[in-house]
Amino acid sequence: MNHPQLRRLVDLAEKLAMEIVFAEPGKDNGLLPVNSLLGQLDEMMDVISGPQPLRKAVEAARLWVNEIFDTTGLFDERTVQRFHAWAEWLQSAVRALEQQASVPDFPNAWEQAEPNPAAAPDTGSTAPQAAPPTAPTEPALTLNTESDAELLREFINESLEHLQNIEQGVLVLEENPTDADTLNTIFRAFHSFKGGSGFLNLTAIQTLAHELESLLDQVRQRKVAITPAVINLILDGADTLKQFIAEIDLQVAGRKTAGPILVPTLQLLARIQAVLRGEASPPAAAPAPAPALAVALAPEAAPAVVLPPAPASAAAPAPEPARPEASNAVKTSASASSVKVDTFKLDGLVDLVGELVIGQSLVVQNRALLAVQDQQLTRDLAQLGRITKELQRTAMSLRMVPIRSTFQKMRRLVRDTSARLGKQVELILDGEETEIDRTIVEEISDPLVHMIRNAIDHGIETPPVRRQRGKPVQGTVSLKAFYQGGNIAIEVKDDGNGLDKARILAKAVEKGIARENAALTESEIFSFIFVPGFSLAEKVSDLSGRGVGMDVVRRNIERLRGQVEIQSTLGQGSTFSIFLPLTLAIIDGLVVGVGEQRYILPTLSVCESFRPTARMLNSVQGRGEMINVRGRLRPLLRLHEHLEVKPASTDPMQSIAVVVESGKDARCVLVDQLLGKQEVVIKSLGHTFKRNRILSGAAILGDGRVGLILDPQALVQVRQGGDAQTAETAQPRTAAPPNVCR
Amino acid sequence: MSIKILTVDDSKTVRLIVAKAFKKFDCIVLEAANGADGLTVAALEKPDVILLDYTMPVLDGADMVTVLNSDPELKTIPVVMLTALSARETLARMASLGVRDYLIKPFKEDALIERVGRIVTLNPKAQATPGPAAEALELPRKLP
Repeated sequence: MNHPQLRRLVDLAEKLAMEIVFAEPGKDNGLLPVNSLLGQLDEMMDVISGPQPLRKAVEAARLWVNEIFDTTGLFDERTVQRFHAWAEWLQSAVRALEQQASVPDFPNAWEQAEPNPAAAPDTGSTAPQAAPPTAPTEPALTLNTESDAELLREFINESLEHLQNIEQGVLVLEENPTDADTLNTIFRAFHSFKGGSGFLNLTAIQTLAHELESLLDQVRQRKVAITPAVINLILDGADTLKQFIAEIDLQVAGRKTAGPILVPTLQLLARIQAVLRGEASPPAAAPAPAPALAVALAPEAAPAVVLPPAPASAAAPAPEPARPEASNAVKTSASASSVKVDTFKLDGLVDLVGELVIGQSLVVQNRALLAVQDQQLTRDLAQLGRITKELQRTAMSLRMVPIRSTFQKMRRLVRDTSARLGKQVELILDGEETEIDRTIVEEISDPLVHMIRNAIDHGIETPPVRRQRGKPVQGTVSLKAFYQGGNIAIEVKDDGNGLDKARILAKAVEKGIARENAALTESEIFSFIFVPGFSLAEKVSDLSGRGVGMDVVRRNIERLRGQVEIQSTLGQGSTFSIFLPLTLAIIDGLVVGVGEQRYILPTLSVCESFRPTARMLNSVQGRGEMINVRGRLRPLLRLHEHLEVKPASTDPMQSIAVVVESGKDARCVLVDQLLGKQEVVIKSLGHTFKRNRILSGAAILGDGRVGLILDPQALVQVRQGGDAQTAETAQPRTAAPPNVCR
Repeated sequence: MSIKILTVDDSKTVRLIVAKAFKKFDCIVLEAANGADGLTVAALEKPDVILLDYTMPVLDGADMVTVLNSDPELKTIPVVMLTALSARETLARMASLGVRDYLIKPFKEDALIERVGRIVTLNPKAQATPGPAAEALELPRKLP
């Protein structure tokens, strides 16, 4: 035996002795360490060809430990005493080895691990189980928002992620109740809930999470089958946890004064325990003690639950095909390597980069610097420009996030809505990885919820009707995101009833927003559904049909500088397409000059520009000044009149006409000169400027001067001088992809 | 030389708690969010102790120990399992893996320091005033 080996032996013996000191009957303190150290000692025996007595001793001790693991998992009186003596013997043996003396014999009496009388087979709980809540009062949560603020915030963030995993997982389970990956994901989520809440002393959450975890564990071991009742139980559990998290969030953020949080859990706990005991879940009609709980129970009351459509996929081998896709989605989201950053910091960075870009262009355009004729300087400045531009692009891409989370949320919506309406609907997601500005992702969620609800409520027919029409009983709603030009397009498509042109038109006439026999195009008719208060539903359901919704949808989308377009065939379905800019922070702008001022027009809305000739100018009775652009008459807008600036010339032939387009309308905007094209970072204007509708923001231009950004939509709609004709009266407007010129 | 402690847990909350617990000692706390990352960090940094979550995505604690055990360079690193599972089977599984010790979540900071202190010697940070940290150091020296 060489020196390092001897030292290691001494070290192991010392550590073992120390751990044995901690051993106490009825506890497992020191048990694993002893086991681990014994294992290491055992391995050493072969390496150093340890003397026989030492081998025997190690073997015996391992037997004792194994017996503990086989039975109670706890030390007992006898074993502790035995180990104390054993440790002493080991010390003497090691000392002997150190002095190169012979190792003392191993006392034979220890060799046999006698059957342990104290080892009752089922006292094996090494830790206190979460006590079943026997008290009839609902436990309230009290937060320590001051000392735990940081941890609580982290807990909230994590919890939201877990909740999402649970919801997504449950929907996979409905398709495939035995998917092991998904079961594990949900199990882990509840498990982490339990862990986190335990650290923060959130007992009510911990108890609930513990029960849910046990439930999932039973499911994992196939002791409990995934039935609709169990799925609802999991979802209700997740919803209850969500309520807790929402409350905690409010208090931590200081939007609500700190106080006890009370979310009823007892009823839910009772239901879980009933399932765990193997009883059918108690009737949903059980009297709910608290209103919050009644809400949570409600979904269960509805007997209709979406089940995997067994006959529909008869051609394919069972529901298997759906599975890999679904579980892959869960996997990829779990393993994507990313860093979470406070949005505040991110926005700060993006803002600073914007300032840097401005600073850079100020330097480049500095007059003193421009006077310097130095090749090195020119090269360096060009390099600086490239880096700044690259930095800006990268910073902007930081704001981009995949639309996945928003899309995934819709799965739950589709499930709940279709179950409530007794319809069978499958949601198909496509292009979830499409990246879009973070702000847009958040803002687009509500409009999408509306549109999908509408698609299920008004679009998809009930199963009997579908059968009668020769359609598959299960309806399909697809949600798709993709890039198109400088925009992102989101498409909500259903294979339901489609929009009824005749009925919409009749309703519009009835409401007095359209003239009878008016020659309207299809898209003009469809766009009536965006008019506030317009509803075709004969009866108002609790989900939709009140005529609020589509107008809000359009408003929200337009606020994001986007547009909506409808395509529909009666009896075959509808497609709602949303077109959105990729980012809200930057626009590619055409800089134009009017008098001393500079304005920016979004390049995407500019079709062309030219210097009008006398032949092109027309004045049409009742419609004001028009410019004839290759045979099409476009109304003329004298920008200076609306901005109250003095132009270089009021003569159109001395000015430049820029054709600006928004939706289906276009207009010639008269400016003094075109100054260039530039990407500008949008700075919002305060309330002071809100009154002038044609201004949508401001930007700092390359030379450090401020330029105002013009809103193409307002430009197209605004009244010219005192003339009657404007787009404002020409309701309704239809939307089209903004980058298409006609 | 500072003691290197690697905490592998998918919950950032737990990682924060571990980092906080060892703040007052002369040690470096390394973090990993799953077993796979944990292995990478372990191989690179050769930590003195690994605090390992039992239930994790990608590669769980038990699997990570199995891989660690198969690497002669890494198998000697003591592993302390942090687990919220208290079932006996878990204990037996951990024992068969030769895990050095375990702690049931939620655990107290003192308990964590005490358990780790039994495996490695924790020294208070040079400038730290001797306080509760120094007391915790007494424990592991208690030899028969």
